[in-house]
Amino acid sequence: MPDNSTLIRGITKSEHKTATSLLGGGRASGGNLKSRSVAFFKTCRNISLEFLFPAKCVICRKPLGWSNPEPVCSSCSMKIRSIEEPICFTCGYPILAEIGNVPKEKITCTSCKKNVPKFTQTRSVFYYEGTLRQLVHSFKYQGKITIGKMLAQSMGDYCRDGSYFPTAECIVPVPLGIKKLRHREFNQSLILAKVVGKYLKVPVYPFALKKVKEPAPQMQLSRQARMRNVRGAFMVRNKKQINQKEVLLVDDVFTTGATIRECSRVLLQHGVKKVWALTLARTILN
Amino acid sequence: MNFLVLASVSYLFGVLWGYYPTHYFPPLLFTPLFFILLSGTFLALSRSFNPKFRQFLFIILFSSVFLGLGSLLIRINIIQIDEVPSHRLTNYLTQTLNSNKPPISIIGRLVKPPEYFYKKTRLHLAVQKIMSPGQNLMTSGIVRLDWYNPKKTCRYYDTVQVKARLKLPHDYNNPGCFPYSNYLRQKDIFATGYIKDLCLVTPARKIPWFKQILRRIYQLRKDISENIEKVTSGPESLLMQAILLGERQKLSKHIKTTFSEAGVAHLLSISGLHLSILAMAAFFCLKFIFHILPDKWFEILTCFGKPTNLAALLSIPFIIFYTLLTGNKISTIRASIMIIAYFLSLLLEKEKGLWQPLLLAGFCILLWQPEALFMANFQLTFLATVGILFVLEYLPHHPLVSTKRAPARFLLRSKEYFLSSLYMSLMALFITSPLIAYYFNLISPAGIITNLLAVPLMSILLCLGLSSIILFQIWSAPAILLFRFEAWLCYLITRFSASVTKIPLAFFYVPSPSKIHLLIIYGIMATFLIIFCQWNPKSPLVKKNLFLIGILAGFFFLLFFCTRPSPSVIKNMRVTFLDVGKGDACFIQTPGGKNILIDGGGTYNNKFDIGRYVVAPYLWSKRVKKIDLIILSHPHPDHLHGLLFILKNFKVTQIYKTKERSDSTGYKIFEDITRRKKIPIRHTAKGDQFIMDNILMEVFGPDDRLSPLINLKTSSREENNRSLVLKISYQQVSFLFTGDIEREAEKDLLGFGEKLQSTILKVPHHGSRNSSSDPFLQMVSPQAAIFSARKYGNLLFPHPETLARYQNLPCRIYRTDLDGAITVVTDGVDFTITTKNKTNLEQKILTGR
Repeated sequence: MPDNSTLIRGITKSEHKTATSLLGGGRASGGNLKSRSVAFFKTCRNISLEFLFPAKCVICRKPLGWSNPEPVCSSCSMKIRSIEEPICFTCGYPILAEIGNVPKEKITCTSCKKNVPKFTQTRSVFYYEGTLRQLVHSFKYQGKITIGKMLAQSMGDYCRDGSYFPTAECIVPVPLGIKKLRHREFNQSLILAKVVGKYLKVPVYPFALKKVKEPAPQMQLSRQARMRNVRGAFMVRNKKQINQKEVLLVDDVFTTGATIRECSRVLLQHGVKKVWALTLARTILN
Repeated sequence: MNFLVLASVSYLFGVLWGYYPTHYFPPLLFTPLFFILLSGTFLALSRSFNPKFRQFLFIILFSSVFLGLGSLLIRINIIQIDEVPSHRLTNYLTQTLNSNKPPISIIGRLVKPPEYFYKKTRLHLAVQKIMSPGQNLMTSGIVRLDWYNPKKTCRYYDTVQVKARLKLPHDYNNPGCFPYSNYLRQKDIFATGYIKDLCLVTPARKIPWFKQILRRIYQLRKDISENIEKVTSGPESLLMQAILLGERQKLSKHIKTTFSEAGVAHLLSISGLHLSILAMAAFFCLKFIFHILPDKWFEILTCFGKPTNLAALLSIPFIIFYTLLTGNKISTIRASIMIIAYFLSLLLEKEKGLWQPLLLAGFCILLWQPEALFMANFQLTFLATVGILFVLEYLPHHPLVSTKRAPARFLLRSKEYFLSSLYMSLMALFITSPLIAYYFNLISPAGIITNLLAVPLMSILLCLGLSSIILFQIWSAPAILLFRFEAWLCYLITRFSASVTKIPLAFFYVPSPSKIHLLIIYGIMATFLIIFCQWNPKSPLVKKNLFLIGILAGFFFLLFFCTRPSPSVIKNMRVTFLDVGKGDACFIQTPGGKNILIDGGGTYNNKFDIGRYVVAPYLWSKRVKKIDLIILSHPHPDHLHGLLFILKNFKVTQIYKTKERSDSTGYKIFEDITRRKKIPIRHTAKGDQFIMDNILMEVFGPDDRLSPLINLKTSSREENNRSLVLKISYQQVSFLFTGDIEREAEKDLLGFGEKLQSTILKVPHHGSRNSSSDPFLQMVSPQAAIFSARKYGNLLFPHPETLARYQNLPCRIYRTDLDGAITVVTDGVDFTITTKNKTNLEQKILTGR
């Protein structure tokens, strides 16, 4: 197990930084003048914001203090579990059984064997459970965009550290139906995608896909029913942007993969070379 | 750790510390500095210390920085007010104003937008240059100029040249009186004056851009208020301008008094109610506009941010604009900072809530103006907001049952809304009433009723008013109708408050509670409210509400207890000659605790009510509510007008006066009140004698033959000569009150011979040249002479010739215009005299006989 405290990297890093610059009498940190001044500006901003509006951890309601610019305290962020290898090379599903000394590329889960997906590779960062579930809920349903941005940073870190999707040329967030968008006022996948795009230094195309049909709620449906349910829900709106490119799909939660599969199907139909997918979290059955 | 709380609390203590310096002050100023240095060095040196300890050090460092800042800023402010630099305007004026000189020519800049009154414009001119015949003086300081029947217009930040007759502001120097000149000086105003004309001068430098914007905004305000004036008329129109645009100065004193007596004076200042309505309107309109955008546009919009956030961000300029438009008063700034901070916390997704914005607003205002802490408007607006937030946060809510059908739910919801607004206005009323009693000597239980109706009416009025102002710019016809309807609403509010004040016990003027009383009241209130917050009964909500009402009721009782008149048990007789300008007013407390008031001062046109603002505050500061005897020497305005307020609002047992009558309006009011309140009047004349509490009162004049009961057309001089002359003696010490008698009456008095001799003489007729004739003075042979006088226009009171006559006598001279209130305390044998302005002359203790 790697160090758990670096799961949400933004937190611990900047906590360390601000703590040292505040109390340690300005120990010189590395980097050139520009990055240092940016860091200094950010520290000042965080301190003044904390002065004006002292924040509490969204999970445990404990006061956060000056040094933490993120909305979650470090003890709560420790509780978030990230998905570790061994995983299915295609869909990223964690393999719990003992598999012996098989190379990474050869690991495949049963569902992928049964039903070969259209996308090239999918990865999820966290398990969708406990604290992370609460965080995603307050992001999606209470509209706390800062939480989304924080979580997206760990998605970016995940890609960069694991050097996943190196050939992806653009990012397409999974779109939201217009009714839901009007109600919620933001597309959670777009917010994640923007941050990931900054990390991977690729453009984000929010209007490449369009959701044309609002599928029935998926909660109680079986796997087959879900697949049928989402069929024809997406449409390519702007073919030019994605033609002959390798596309990275970004979504918030991977449950059965029905949405991702349908999106990749539609994308591949319209001349996309390869589809990769990255989701923030993944539900684990049983 | 909430560092804003820490910072503001330590800053507050710093301000208090700087404001009340003890004689240990200079070392104390360095204490924060010492702490800063100490904890700073420790922090720098101590990397290896325990983190808890380092945090503690950091907190000490932080709070002592703000403590030092607070005390420093308030000290600077006090020094600026107290010590006037030599180049200031005052020095020039004090040199020139005493002699009557022609108006002086001034060049200056308007540092405030012109204030429009009825047929009068008031300008605040920051003086740059005074052009006197010999030389041009460069000075600084603000003069306040009144311009009657202005024929030209001028705007904010114009440079103008005027010919002004200036005068220095003067105080009525009595204990308990409002320090007017100090108040003006806090605003940097050094002199007031009149102008007849003005001419614009092209400024040397270009007007900076933000001043240009302000000029536009103030011009807009003027235009809007002129439009309102065009389509509506009467006092309602003025009230509407005050409520919508903050043009409070246009309101008549009568309406202001009615509103404060009815307990709804807060409606006249632009604050939370106005700004929250505006903010909500702007926010929801913008949100609505975003939501009716076509799908595609809406999608593009969401790529940049949540439309709700955008709406919040875009409504901030509206709030700032309205704050500037209504002439940034403290309550307006408080409200706008709170709302902006609330929107920011929404935008940044921080903790919601209004306590933090309130704290932030207070901190910002005190950083900007530390002296505001000691001003009534700051204290009132913040206390009222604390009360309202308390209700918002802790009032138990009825659980809303969502399954109920729509009509029932609507009923429940409206009941909830009604209850919470009821509690909010009650709480604001109760929590501010001790301060209102302290500053304005007013308790107004009527506010409980008035607020219930006036506040909802006001919210409707504001919604309509703000929309009609905008509508007027686009399409004037329906806006005019709306304006008329609003004027009718204003009329309704005024009539309602006026009729409420007619109810008996609707309001009381009371002696002000002392500062210690205030501390005790607020301490007890805070304790009970904290208990209330912590208390969590399982029983229904009713009990908790009853408990809150109990707290509030008990609190009112406490307030009444604190403002009751103090039982005065003094052994000595105390005679105070009040400073009422040119006029007489003398207050006597007898050894038995009886109160006697001889005359009440007064101004000729009664525009400034000496009774309300000079005599009554003095009596309140002495905790007097009941006057056992009022003596009126003669019914001239400078003796009578000040008594009217006292007769109306104090318990008066009896009045002594001469048979003299007058057909002036003031005298008619006097007769009206005495008839209505059934105060017995006794007519006295030469030869009468009374005894009250071992005090002998002998009447020496006027002769009955001279003062017919029916008013004859007589000259003012003859009326003066028919003033009551009264000698009041307590054992061996005696006072001679002479009213406004002149030479003729004095000659008549000489017949009393030795009886006339008195220890202390109230100089007849404010020290006029025609009174205090030498034979009279020889006969009275006073040990102290008291001039109750002040220069009035071009008339010199006291006249130098008269003063010279007194200076030849072996007697001390006291003048209310220089010494302020003069108090004589006597035990019947010795007496001591103290004055309000102790600095004017050195120690003034005399021992008689």
